[in-house]
Amino acid sequence: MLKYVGKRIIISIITIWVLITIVFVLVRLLPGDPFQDGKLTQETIDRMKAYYGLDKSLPEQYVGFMKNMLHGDLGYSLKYNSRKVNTIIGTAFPYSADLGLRALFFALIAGLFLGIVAALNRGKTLDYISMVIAVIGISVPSFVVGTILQYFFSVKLGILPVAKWESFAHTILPSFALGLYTMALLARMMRANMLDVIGMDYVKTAKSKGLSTFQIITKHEIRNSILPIITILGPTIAGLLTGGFVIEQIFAIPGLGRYYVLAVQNLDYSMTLGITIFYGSFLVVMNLLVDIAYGFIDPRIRVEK
Amino acid sequence: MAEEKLEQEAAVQKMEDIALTPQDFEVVGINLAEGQTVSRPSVSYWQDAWRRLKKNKTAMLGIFIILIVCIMAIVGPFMVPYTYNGNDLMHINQSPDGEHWFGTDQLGRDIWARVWQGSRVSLAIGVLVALLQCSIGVIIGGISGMLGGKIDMFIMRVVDILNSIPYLIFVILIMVVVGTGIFPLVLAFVITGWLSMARLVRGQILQLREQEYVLAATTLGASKTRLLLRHMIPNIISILIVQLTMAIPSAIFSEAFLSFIGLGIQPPMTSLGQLSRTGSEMMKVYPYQLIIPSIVISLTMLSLNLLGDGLRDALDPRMRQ
Repeated sequence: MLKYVGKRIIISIITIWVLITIVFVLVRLLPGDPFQDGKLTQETIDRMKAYYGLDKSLPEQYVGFMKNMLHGDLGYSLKYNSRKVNTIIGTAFPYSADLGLRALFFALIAGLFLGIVAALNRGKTLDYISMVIAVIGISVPSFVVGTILQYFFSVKLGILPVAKWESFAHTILPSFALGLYTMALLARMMRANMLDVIGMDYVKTAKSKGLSTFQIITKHEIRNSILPIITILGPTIAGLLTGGFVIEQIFAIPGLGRYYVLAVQNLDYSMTLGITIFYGSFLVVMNLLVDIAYGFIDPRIRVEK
Repeated sequence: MAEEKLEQEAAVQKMEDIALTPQDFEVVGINLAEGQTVSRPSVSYWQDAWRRLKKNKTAMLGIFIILIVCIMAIVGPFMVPYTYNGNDLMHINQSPDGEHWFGTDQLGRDIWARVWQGSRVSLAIGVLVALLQCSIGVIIGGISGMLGGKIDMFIMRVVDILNSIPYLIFVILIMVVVGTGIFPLVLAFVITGWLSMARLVRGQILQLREQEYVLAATTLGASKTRLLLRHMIPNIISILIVQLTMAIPSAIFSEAFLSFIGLGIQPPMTSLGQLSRTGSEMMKVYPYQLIIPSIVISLTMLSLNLLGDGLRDALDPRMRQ
């Protein structure tokens, strides 16, 4: 187990290092000078250059860049001159995390429920309905779901708030729109897993032992089908976080995704890169946690690797 | 004693009476020669798959919708006397009517022409990206699986590391450097998209390497290239086709996603995502400008997903559920 965890940690550290290096190389590939926006005096530009180490040779720059990263210092935003990227992440990310968690919660509960119901009623109407919902959830893009829901529930019917992130009512539409795709994906996966497990010998054994249907479903079928779901939690979290970009824009939620998109549109390089590194590292760490958790829950994984 | 002997003689006599000839051993009513002939034409794998696909109603619905969208993407812009970027400021935000079938947008551009031009761009990006991703994935995955050893280790570590960087962030980062537009989009999608394909192909090839027919081919002196091209790829082609079909909607979605947040296709060029973006800005007053492109993009994605599911069931019956 220790070897497995150690290996995962080393791979994660290498990944973050590669990510930072890619970012470093890409910055140097960018055309022009990141501080040339006309508002800054030469003195400030020189000082900024010195701060970022842009006046040194490339290897020295690389070392300096890595040092800043190790301190967790992502520098200043180019557009909001006085604000540090770290501060912006600190204030904006909680909103994104809140939205993501709500969407994940909704997706997990609804997705697993739909998948289980579909598998237990294989070939019947309920199965059909669940899978129609799932295929629609996979096909209709989140921004379409978001804007259409916003139009009908907020603009037309006026039941729910149009935008912003204040009360619980504000969170319903964004969380639903963001979670729908994941929900559909989980429903399909859960159904497939359940159908696999239902055909297993241990389920037959459980039946012949005389266990009640309820016990077979909860203790054998669901428990064994849920395990593989954990493996896709890493990519799922990544999907919810990046999917948040568009939902935050539609519902005017002051999350990090909106800042990220704005930074890219405004060519605010330092903020784009800072948030990229933050997102990348965050997701790598989430993946690591998911991998370790899976290793703990399912011994087969750690023996295999 | 004498009686017993008499009985035996009688029995022998009886058996001689019903003497058997070879004809007696032929099965009555069956013509053996006829049984050997194949009464129906043999069904190839592809015919069989097509037959299974035809039985799948949802997949056929998918094919039907996708054909309509494709045909409209080709001929749609020519059906009206307007171009996708020709604006008419005297007729802005017109609701759908006989003159402008889907209405006009805030610059007076005909939405019918724009929607089908947008579908053209979206479909072209989807198909191009899917094809390129799959080709690169097959080449790199094939090399990795066939050569094995240190090269395989190295390639797979690179894939692992690149794979753990979130896809959209990677794409956005590349687009910051390369710029926006159709070509940078395709490039960014291809750079990030081949990873899962390479992994899948490698896994399949590792399995196939253990098959007897591969051993036989190796014994006959087949080179690794020949093994890969003549034995392995034909054997995983069904998986590749399913992956290809699934890669198209995901590329269309990614393009639409980026265009919607303003990082993809830039006006006056258009795509379905870009149309949804402009539509969503006018949603409160002119909802049709959002709803029409939304329906087209959803139908396109839905039909491709249905087709992909159907193909998976048809090409690999073991996967069927």
